[in-house]
Amino acid sequence: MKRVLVVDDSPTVRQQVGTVLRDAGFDVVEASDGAEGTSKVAADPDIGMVILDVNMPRVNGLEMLETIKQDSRNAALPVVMLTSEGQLSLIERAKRAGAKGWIVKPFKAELLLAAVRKLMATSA
Amino acid sequence: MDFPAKVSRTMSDSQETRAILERFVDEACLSLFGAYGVDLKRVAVDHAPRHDVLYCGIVGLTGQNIRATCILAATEEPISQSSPIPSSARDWVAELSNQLIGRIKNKLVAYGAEAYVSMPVVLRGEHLAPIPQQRIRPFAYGTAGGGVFLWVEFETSPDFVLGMPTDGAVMSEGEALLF
Repeated sequence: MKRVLVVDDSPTVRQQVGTVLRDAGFDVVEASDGAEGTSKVAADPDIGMVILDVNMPRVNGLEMLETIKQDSRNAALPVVMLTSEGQLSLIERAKRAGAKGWIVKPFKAELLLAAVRKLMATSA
Repeated sequence: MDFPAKVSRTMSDSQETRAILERFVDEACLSLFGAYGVDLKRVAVDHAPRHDVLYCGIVGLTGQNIRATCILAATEEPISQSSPIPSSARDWVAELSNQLIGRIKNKLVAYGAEAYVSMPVVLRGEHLAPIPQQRIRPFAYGTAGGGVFLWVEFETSPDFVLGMPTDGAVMSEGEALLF
């Protein structure tokens, strides 16, 4: 089973998301900002999906999304944004950059799982 | 909602605008803690529970013709009670502050305002209280075993306008969308 990379500057959110995904049988790795997340995507070909916060220090989630999607090897890598932001202009920017979904915190575990399962199945 | 359709006066001469902004703040705080299972009760500041040690998250918001600084202060009980998993108070206060300013921002965006949020800063201390530029009183809330205080200081230029509320301008908290 491919891995899900969870990128969020909050350890609590990473652990919360990670628990939901691990309990459902997914392999989870974590990064605390967009810079670390970008490095992990580049270094780990088994990462099959990214759950990505927006407001983070150093490199934010939209910047990370745009960076990794510039690499053609990540064209099919599904990315879902998980953030407190709900502004449509940001959602449109993420969509244009190649994101496959947007979830506004606080997240419902069943919605997150459904999104991950659907997108992992589609990209497999 | 029963907000006025358009408010075009400046905040400095418009109690109406101030009332709307304060309502955004109050609703955002109540709904945030409610989403994490903590029922806040608004109390008069003078009757707020007295607690020495507070955790504070400070976060800013800027946009065209508006700036705001939000200080969320709470005792340990509502922090730990609202956390979905056992976690450090420092981290969870930062995340709550981030989500709180996100809710306030989303309300502003729905009324046509433009806003960007900053990263939160967290403090822990005894008898903490801000010294705001304006005369503002905190929103005070009581919880089972603790207290939450919230100062939000808005600064607006004379051109600040809240427009018509627009359906669909923002996604609501808890919503998920696949493209």
